[in-house]
Amino acid sequence: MIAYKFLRAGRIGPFSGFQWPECGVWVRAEEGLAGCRTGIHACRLRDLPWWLANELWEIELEDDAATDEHKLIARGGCLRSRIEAWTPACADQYAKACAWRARDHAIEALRRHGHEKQAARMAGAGTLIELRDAAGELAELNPEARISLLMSQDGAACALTHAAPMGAYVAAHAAKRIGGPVAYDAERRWQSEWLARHLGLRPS
Amino acid sequence: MTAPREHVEEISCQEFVELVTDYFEGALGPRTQNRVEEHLVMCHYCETYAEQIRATMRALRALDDEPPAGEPSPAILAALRRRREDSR
Repeated sequence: MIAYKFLRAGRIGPFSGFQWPECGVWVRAEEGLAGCRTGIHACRLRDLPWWLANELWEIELEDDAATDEHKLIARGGCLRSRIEAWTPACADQYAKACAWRARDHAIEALRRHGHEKQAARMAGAGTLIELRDAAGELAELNPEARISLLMSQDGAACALTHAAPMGAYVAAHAAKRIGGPVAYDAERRWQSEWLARHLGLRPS
Repeated sequence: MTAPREHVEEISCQEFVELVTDYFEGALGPRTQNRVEEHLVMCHYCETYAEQIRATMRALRALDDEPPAGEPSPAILAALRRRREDSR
């Protein structure tokens, strides 16, 4: 079974600290993952937004992998190839895309309260700095949409500071604020689709 | 609106701080451990905090390996006595 795995620079497991061997070398959970209590963890496409890290690898898992809420858990796995398209520049692009999504949710919040003019100002922001500043100013003027605007401001700030995982988190919660858990799910789905499309990934 | 589903639950930074020691000691259940790790990916502040806690725990464990200090040397004791006398 093919899946994906985010690692820190140097093929290091973000939580286990385990350094993965070269591609093609199988690792089994009982053999050396001291920091991992349950097995080899990997991502389906839908899980990617939760686990972003420096390196993304395609991983082959043993076929009996169990599915968890946001990950796959297998008894064994081996790295197959690094996804070279996942770079800091790509992460920045992703963070920007998430920031504009959070902006769209803030616009929706403004429109729901009849603030068309202010929604148009948000829609007219051409750069992340303009977006961040407009959202911050409008948040002070609109108690009804304040949280959505602050989320938009945070999303822009995340994109400006290369904080892609937090930017994605903010966008998902901005969606939830407008449309509840269903919208949260849809936003996370949009994020995983963005990653799959830009990185050329295929479903597990 | 649909009732919040369990998978939307996430821990806050405050909850993270409360859980971090148990996390490093492997004392959390799998579900809570997942939440902690998801939070760590997303929050640089808590990631930094966790690194500090990890370093502190490592340093404290290293202290356990040091033999207890013996009696202070006669020279140190004499110096401390002199200092006490001087301060009177």
